[in-house]
Amino acid sequence: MKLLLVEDSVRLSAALASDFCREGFAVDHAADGLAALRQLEAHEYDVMILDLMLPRVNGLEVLRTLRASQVPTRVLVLSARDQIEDRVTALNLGADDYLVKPFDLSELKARTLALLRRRYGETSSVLSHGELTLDTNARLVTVRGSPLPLSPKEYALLETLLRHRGKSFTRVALFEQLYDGLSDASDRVVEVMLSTLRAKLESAGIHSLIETRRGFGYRVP
Amino acid sequence: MFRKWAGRSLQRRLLISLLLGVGLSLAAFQIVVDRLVDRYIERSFNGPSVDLAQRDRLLREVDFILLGGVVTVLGVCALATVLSVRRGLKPLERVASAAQEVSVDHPVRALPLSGVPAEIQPLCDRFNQLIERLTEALEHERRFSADLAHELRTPLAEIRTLGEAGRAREDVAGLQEFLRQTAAAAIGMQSVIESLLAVARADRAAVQRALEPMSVGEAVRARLERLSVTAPDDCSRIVARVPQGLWIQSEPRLFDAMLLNLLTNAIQHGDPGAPIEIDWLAEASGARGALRVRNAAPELARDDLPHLTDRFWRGIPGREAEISGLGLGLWVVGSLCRVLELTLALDLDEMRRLNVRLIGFRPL
Repeated sequence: MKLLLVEDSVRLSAALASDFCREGFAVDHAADGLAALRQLEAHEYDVMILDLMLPRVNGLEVLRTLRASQVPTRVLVLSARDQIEDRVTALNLGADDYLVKPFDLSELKARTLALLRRRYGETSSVLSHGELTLDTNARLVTVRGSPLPLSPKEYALLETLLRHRGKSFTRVALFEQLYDGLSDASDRVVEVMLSTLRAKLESAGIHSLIETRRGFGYRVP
Repeated sequence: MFRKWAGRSLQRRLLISLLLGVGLSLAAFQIVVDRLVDRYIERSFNGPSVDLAQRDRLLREVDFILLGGVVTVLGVCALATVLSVRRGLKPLERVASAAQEVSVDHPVRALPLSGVPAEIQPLCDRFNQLIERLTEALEHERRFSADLAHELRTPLAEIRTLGEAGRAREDVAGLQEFLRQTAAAAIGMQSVIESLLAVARADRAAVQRALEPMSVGEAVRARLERLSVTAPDDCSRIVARVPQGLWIQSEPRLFDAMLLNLLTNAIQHGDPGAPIEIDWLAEASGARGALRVRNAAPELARDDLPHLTDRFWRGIPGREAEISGLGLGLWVVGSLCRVLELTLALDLDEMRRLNVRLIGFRPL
């Protein structure tokens, strides 16, 4: 789950990025509108959290440009502007949600997850495969009702593969989904993570959930 | 009693004046006409076979007719006056009901003036001007409150999010960093509130009464001493050239608030490697003087100067080097200058140095 956080307050963006990263999101940060547009050109994001009063290019302009380019990224506007006209303008320009500062962090996360579900046309927060279920709200994986302990990155990897069942991901594509653009890690870390995730699934009695398709990558059939 | 009763109503005053004027005129007219007619009748009935009873009856009839005429004319005049005054005052009733509707929640732009008597028009005009000023002041306050609410929301969001996100941190170093950031956000919020309170509390009349002699050199030295504790590196590049023994009549607390805001502004937005200069500029006559704070401002454009004293102005969107900060420092200085009856002048010299001058101090 790739998230772009566009916010000029360094303190706020650092706190948000830290929290979303712990939840398994790959978070990129842009401190102004121009940087946000560059990031949007370079990567495809599932959700963008967008402030409106930004330096260089304002948030509404970023939104207009994004929607003109037909990118399916879901946009949650996070702004100190609380007037009805501000909300109406942002929603009319293509924002999917609007939250006024100050906000409750759990509400922001819940709304972000809801946008993520809408992005993939899901109606439920639970993804399941046989005896395995993954609750995207609780960030919890269970096998036959028993919790399966996973690290945030392992959870994010499993969620990505389950969310796109049947679709093959290359190692690089998975790396981009799981790590932010500034990460120093090598994309080989995905292979290590796949190995530990497979081992945990096997020990829980889930066999051969993740397939390796030579030349295509990895998938959950 | 009668004067009080008459003085309360314009209509009554007009009516009494008219009745007195017309009544006296008609009485004089009646006396003259009565005399002339009486003389004519007496001359007509002059002779041996005069019927004196008939003559007297005729004289009485003439008196009654004249008196009746006077009373009728007075009655008609009174009625016409009452109707005319009532009609003339009708627009005032509209004005009164419009004025009654004026409230903080529903301010009106102007009272309806069509048909208002010319004598009362200046009063209504003044009232409208007052309403306009009040409406502008209310609008100004509303904008101010909206701006303030907006400006406080971001640091409040920072504090709340840092608190909520920090709760989940288990590492001590990470938690300490969150606490440090929370404190910094609270300081930013405090700065906004203190700046606004400094201006809100500065009442012009009270300040003018509280002016006292103060040494400019001492005030600058004391401020730099305090600044050297909180910002020692920045303080080392401040150069003060204020004559010793220079005394002015001012309000020390506000003087210090202006100086602090000017220096903070220069530190935050100026070239960090260039000096910040404080100078006293005396007029040739010596009657007045100005305090100047000068700093290198390579990112500032001349077009920015008119906006520098705007509240919450932080630079033109799109500029490569966006100005950071709250956008309140020079607005506070401008507001305090107005309270102290000083002039705030800003200019950018050929060396791209921002000169901020507080003009109008009177040396003692």
